[in-house]
Amino acid sequence: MSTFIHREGPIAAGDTRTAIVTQGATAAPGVIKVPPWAHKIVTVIVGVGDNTPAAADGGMNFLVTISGDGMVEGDQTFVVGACYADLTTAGDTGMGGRIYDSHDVDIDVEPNGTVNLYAEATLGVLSGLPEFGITIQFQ
Amino acid sequence: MAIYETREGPMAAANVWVALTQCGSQGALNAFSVPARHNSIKELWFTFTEPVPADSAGGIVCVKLSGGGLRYGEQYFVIGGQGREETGNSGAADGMVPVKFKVNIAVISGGEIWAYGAQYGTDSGTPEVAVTAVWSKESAPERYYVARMLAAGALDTDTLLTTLVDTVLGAIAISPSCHKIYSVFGVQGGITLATATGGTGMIRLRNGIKEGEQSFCVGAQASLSTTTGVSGGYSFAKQTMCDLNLTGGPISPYGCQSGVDWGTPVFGVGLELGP
Repeated sequence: MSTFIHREGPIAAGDTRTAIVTQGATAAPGVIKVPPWAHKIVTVIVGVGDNTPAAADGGMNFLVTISGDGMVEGDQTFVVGACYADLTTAGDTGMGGRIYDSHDVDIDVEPNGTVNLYAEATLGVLSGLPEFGITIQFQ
Repeated sequence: MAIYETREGPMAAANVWVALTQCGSQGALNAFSVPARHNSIKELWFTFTEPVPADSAGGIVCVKLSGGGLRYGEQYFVIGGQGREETGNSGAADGMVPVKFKVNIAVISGGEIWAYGAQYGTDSGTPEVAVTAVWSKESAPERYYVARMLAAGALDTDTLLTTLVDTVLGAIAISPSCHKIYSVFGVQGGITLATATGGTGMIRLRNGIKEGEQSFCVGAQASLSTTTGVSGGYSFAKQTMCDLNLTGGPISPYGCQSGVDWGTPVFGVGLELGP
C-alpha cells in the first residue's frame, strides 16, 4: 500500500527555508499526516521552475528538507538540483528546465505523525522566484 | 533506513580544495558527524552551480571526503563539468538534477567527516558545490575512491591524466590490498568552444588491468556559437559499475577528445578500488 501527496509553492529569498504548502487550486490543503499504515517515505519527486528569471547572472543549489514530528530520525535535507542563468535582456530564458527528478529514498516515518516540506536556494544569486513542486510517496 | 545530510559552499580559485561547511539557511555546520549506530555512506548526491559565469572558462568539479570518521581514509570523486564560451553575454542558462553515486564508504560512528569541493581547470567564477551524504547502518567493504584529471587540448590525442586538483601524482598507484575496480567515474568539461565544433570525450585506462586496456565514453559537446552567441552548460559524471581485475601495477588514465576540435576540454576519471 502506498500513497502520494504533492505540495507546491515559491521561495522568495536565498538561504531562506520556505514551507511548501499549497496544492494548485487547493490553496490550503493542510498539514501532511503520515497515513496510519505507513512507516516509510520511499520516493521524493521534485521539480523546480522559475517564473521570473532576472536580468542578471544567477546561480544556486536547491535543497529540500523534510521535517516534522512524523520523522523518526529528525530533519532530512538533500540536494535536488542546481541552475545558473546569465541573462541581460528581457526575453532570455531562465533555468534550463531539466530540474525534475524522482529520488528513491529510505526515510522512516511515524504513523499518524506530521510531515512538513521545505525548500530553499543556497547562498548564491537568486535568479528570480523559483517554484518548487514536491511529491512524497508514503509506504 | 537512511539519514540524509547536506553540506554546501562556494569555491574560490581554480585547483583549490574548499571546505563545504554550510547547509543553506542553517549556516555553518562545519563537518559531518557520523550519526550514532551508522556504519557507512551508501550514496552521495551532488549538485553544483555557477553564480558568476566567466567567459571562456570552466573545468570539472571534484569532491573530497576527509576526516577521522572515514575508516579507509580520504576519498575523491569527479562529479561534473562546466564549460562556457560567451561573447555576447546573453541568455545562457542551464539546470541540473543531482548526480548520484552508489558508494561503499565505511565510516566510524561519531567520527568527523569534512566535505571539500574544488573546481579544476580555468577559474569559472565562484561555483557552488553541494553534497548530500546518505548514511546507512549497513557495514561497508574496504573501498578506495581515487581520481585524476587534466586538460587535454589536441584532437584525437591521448593525454595522461596526472593531477588531483592541486597535486601532480602521476599514474594511479594500487594499494596491495586492492585487486579489483568496482566502478569507474568519468567526466569532461572546461571547454573553449569555437564556432561549429563538437564531438565526444573518452577515457582510456591503460596498464595495471588484467583484462587489458579499457575505454569509456565520458561526454559530448556541440557548439554553434557566433560572435553574439553563447554556448556552454553542464556535463555530469557517470558511474559505470564493473568487475575488473588488477595486476598490482599502476593504472595510467588518459583523456581524449574526438570529432571537430572543440577546444581544451578537461577530463576527469575516478575509480572505486577494493580487495
